[in-house]
Amino acid sequence: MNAKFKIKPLRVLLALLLALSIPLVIASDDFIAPEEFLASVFTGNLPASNTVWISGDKKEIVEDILGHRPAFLRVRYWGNRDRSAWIVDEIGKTEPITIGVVIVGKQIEEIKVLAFRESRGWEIKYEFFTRQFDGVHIKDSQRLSRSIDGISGATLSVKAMTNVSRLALYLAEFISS
Amino acid sequence: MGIVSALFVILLSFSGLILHHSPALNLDNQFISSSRLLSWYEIEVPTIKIQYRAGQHGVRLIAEAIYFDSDRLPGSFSDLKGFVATEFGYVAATSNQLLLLTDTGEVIEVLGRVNLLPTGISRIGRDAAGRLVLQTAMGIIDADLDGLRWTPSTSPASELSWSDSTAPQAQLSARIRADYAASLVSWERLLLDIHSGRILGSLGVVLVDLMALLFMLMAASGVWIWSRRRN
Repeated sequence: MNAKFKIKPLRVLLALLLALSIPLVIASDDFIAPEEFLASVFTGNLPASNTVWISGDKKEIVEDILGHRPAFLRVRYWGNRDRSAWIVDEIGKTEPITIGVVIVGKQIEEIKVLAFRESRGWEIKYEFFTRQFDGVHIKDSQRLSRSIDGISGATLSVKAMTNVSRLALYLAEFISS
Repeated sequence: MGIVSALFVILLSFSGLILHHSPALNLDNQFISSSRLLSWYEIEVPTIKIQYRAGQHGVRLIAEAIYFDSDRLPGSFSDLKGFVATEFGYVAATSNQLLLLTDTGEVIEVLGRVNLLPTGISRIGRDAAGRLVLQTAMGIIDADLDGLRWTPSTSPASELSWSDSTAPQAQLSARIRADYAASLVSWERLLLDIHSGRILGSLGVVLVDLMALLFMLMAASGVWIWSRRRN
């Protein structure tokens, strides 16, 4: 073989490491502004926002859904009983992940990661993962109607997103008609 | 040498075993409160940057944490701009958020850019009619927290009263600093530092490196001796 085309293992290794580090760099800059998310959901006609209070029995159920005491007493949504959008912050491992959920009737229409601040687990923002939630509703004990496939190395982020989807579906039941 | 190696093997295996199950044991969310262990890390606990008082209560900013009286609020914050009493409890302002709190310090809701709250808040206060006003980068804004409307204020500047910072009491300050210090080093961090030798500084890392080399030497020599005996 011509020496000019000789494969240099060190260079190959460095190129591989560089290629593997690119997704991490992209992940740290990922951000969808909440107003941008809402504008895309309601195509420019942003409805008035309202809130669902987490009081009485709801407090215990929300604690059960999230696996910890909620850091807020009410959650804001935009829209109405037929179609609503929710934006919730939930801790993955140490940092809050901002997640937007759109609910039509009693099912999820769309779920998106708006801001991801953790160093690992960013794969949950990709459509191959989020589309698993399309059409999902909650059954008894606020469990999702479909099991969500996890992602290796992103267990806590997957859990955070699953819990937020359950929370939004549960709270959407309390939107007054 | 064998006994020293055995002790190191036990220490490394034990710390490694616990670290392996650290998420299940929730060790990354449990923090060391022992002042002796914390002083080992030579952590310089930050002081309270600013404090505001309203009615019977007050809020303080220490590093990136806000305390309502002596209880830490969830989340991290870069600044604190004021604190006012309202009919439902209190509102604490940062430069880009309003924290709506009950009179016992529970977070009702955090309003931010998603609620179209103007950014660059530098002060929070009230006008002559008791309405909430914000000094923002866009000027003075009337804040309607029910309708989430932010409109330019028409009140004369002389009729506005702003939330002013006050000096924290020494006793409360010490309590908050102690509580904050107890959230800095997790048990997982301590175990990682024991496992890597960093608990003893750079000398500890060298020591663990030497022990690792020693283990490899012992393993290789053991196999070599065993193979010689077999032959």
